[in-house]
Amino acid sequence: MRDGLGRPQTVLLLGGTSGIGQAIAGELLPYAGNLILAGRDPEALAEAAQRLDGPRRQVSTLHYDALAPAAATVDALATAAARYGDLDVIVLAVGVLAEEAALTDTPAVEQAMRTNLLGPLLAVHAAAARLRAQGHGTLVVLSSVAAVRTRDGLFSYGVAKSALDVYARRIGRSLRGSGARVLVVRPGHVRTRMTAGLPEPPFTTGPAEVAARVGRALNGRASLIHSPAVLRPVTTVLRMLPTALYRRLQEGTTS
Amino acid sequence: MQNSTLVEGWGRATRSRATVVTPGQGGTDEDWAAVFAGAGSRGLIARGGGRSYGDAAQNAGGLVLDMRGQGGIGTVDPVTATVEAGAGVTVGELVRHLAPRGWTLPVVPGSAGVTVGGAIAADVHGKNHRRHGTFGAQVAAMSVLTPAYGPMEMSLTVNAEQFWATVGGLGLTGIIRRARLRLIPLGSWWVTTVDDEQPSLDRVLERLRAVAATSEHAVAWVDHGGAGVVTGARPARLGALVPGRVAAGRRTPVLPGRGIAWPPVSAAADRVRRFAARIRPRHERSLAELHFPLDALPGWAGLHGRRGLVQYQFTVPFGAEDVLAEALHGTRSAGFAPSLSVLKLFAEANPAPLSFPAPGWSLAMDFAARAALAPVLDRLDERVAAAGGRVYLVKDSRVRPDLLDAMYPGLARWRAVRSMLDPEHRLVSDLARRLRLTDQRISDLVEAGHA
Ligand SMILES: Cc1cc2nc3c(=O)[nH]c(=O)nc-3n(C[C@H](O)[C@H](O)[C@H](O)COP(=O)(O)OP(=O)(O)OC[C@H]3O[C@@H](n4cnc5c(N)ncnc54)[C@H](O)[C@@H]3O)c2cc1C
Repeated sequence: MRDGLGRPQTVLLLGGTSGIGQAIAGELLPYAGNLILAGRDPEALAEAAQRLDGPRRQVSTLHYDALAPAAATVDALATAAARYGDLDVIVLAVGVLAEEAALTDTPAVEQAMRTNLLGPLLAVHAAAARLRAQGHGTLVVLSSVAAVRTRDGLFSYGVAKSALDVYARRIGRSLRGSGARVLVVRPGHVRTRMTAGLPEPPFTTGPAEVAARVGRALNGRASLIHSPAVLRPVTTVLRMLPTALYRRLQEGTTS
Repeated sequence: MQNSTLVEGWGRATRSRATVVTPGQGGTDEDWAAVFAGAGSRGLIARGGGRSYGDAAQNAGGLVLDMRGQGGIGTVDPVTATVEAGAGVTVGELVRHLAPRGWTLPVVPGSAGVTVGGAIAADVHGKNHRRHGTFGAQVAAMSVLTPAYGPMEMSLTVNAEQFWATVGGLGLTGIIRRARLRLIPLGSWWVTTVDDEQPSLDRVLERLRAVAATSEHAVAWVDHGGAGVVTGARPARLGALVPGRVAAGRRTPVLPGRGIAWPPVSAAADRVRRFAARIRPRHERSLAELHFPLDALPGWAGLHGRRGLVQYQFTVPFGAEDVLAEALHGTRSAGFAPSLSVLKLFAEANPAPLSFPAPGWSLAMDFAARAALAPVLDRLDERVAAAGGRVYLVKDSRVRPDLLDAMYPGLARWRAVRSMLDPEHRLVSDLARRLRLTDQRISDLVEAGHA
C-alpha cells in the first residue's frame, strides 16, 4: 500500500534495465520498500538489482519479455504480486531506439514494432486490469515527446510511442473512479545508455530529473507530464508548426 | 470497480476506493454469513465512525461494511452495572444517553464519533488509563461474527483467547455486532478542569504523574521545547446530570501548504495555549467538552493542508523520557512542527496482544502529511522500538512492517488466533496489507515455529 505520506511499498519496473525506469524506482523507494526489476537479460537485471539494493530495500528480478504472448505478461504481473502483495506503482519502461536506417527489412520493423508498440500496449492493458482489481495503484507509462511530433529518422519509434501514449491515456480515463490511475510521462531527450552517442538537442536532461518529476507527480493528480515541464508548451508549438518549417528546425537534433 | 466509493481516513492522508455496503439493522445470522460469502478476493473490513486517522477502516478494491446503522442501546442492568449496545452506537450517543440515568462509560476516547465496534477493535484509551485501563477491559461480553465459526460469544470466560484477539484486533478477527459494556456511576455532567503550566518536560511529566494519581482524568499538552500545560479534571456540581446542549462545531476550511503545522504558526499557537492556562487555569466544562475537545473543530485534518495530517502516537516505558524529548525537538529541528502534542500516562497493559497501552508515557503528535517527514518518523520509530515502546496502529499510516514484531511481542500469538478465526483471509484492510498483519506466509512460519 502507499502510506499516509505517499510512499509506495512495492514498485514493479517492466523493462528492468531501463536507466530512466531505474531512476524512477530509486526515487519512489528512497528509504525502504520492495522493487521488482522485470526484463529479458538476467545478467543486466542482476547487476541493476545489486546497484539498487539498500539497507531496507528488497530488490528482486523477474523474467519478462515484451515480445512474449500477452498471457506471459499477465503471468509476470501475477508473479510479481504474489511476491510482495499489492503492486503500488508499475513503471512501464520498455522500448528500443533504432534509427530508421537500421530497420532494413520487414522482420526488423516487426521486431521493433512488437517491442515498442504491441508489447507495451499489452502491458498497459494487463497492468491496468490488475490495478483496477486492486482498487489502487499507479501505472507510470514512459512515453516520449517523440509521441507528439515524430521525427523522420525515428518515425517507427515515434509512431509506436504515439500509439502507446494515446492508448495509455485512454485506459487511464477508463480507470477513473476505480482508485487506480495512469500517469503518462513524456520525457524529452534523456542522457542514457540508449541515447549515448546521439547529438543532444535543447532541453536534454538526465534520468534523475525525470525521476524527480515523476516522484512529485505521483503525489498530485496529473495524468500527463512532460520532463522537463517546459516541453509541454514547446511540443504544443512544434505540433502546430507547418511541416516544412519543422523539418528545418529538426536538422541536427534528435528527440 | 462499479459503485466504488472513496473511503478516507480521518486524517485525510490515506484513501482508497471500495464497495461500501450498509447491512440492515438486525438481520439473521444467515444474512450476516452471506456478507462473508459475498466478499470477493479483496475481502472485507468493518468500518465504524471512520475516526481512525489512517487506513484501518479502508479496503482498496474490496468491501467495506458500514456498521453505523447497527444501533440500539439496551436498558442499564443496575445489578451488573452493564448496558448492551449495538456495534454502531457511538460513544457520544452512549455518554449522553447514560448521563441522565446516572451512569457513564469508564473509558472514553477523544472523539464522540467513535463507535462501540471501533472502540473495541482499537482497544481505545481515555485520559484515565491509570484508573480504568482500556475500553476493551470494560467489555463484559460481545457477539462477534467470525468467518470460520459464524456468530461467536466472547468474554473473559467464554472464548477468552478469541476475546483478547478481537480487542485491539483492528477488525481482522470478526465483525463485532453487539457488546455488553461495564458502567460506572456518574456524579455530575459537569467537571472542573485545572490547567497547570510547567516550564520543562521534566516538570510536565512529574506534574502529570501527580495529577493522574489524584484526579479522575489527566492529560498534558506540550510544546516542542517540552514546556506545557497539565490538565486534571474532577467532577463538579454533584447531582447535575442532564447533558447540556453542545454547540455545533464550525466547519473549518482546507488550508494551503502545511497550514497550522507551519513552524511560525504552531509556535504562536503554543504561546497562546500557555498564556491562556496562566491567566485562567480553572474551567467548568461538560463531560462532552472534556472528552471530545477536537470535535469542536470538524475539519481539523484540513487545517493541515490539502494532503491532510498524520498522527504519530507512541508509548515508551517509564525511564525512556529521552525518547519523548527527542520526538519533540527532533521533529521540530528537522523542520516539522507538530500542530498538537499530547502526553498521557499509561498503567498496566491488558492481555490483548495488539492493545496499544503499556506502562509508561504516551505522546501523540499531529503533523501535516508531507513526504519529507517520512525519514524523520522512521528514525523515531527505531528509537521507540529500541526503548521497548510501540506506535498506535489504529492511528498509524506509515510505520514500517519490519518493526512490528519488536513493538508488539504478542503479534505471533495474535496471528495464530486470527488465522483460526479467519483461515481464508476474508477480513482484510489497507492497514493489514500495508503492515502485512495477516500475512499467510508469516503466520505459517509462526505455526511451524510453534509446532
Ligand atoms: C479526534 C480524535 C480523538 C481520538 N482520541 C483517541 C483517544 O483519546 N484514545 C484512543 O485510544 N483513540 C483515540 N482516537 C482514535 C479512535 O478512538 C480509534 O481510531 C477508533 O478505533 C475509531 O473508531 P471508529 O468507530 O471511528 O472506527 P473506524 O475508524 O471506522 O475503524 C477503526 C477500526 O475498528 C474496526 N471496526 C470498526 N467497527 C467494527 C466492528 N463493528 N467490528 C469489528 N471491527 C470494527 C475497523 O475495521 C478498524 O480497524 C481518536 C480519534 C480522533 C479522530
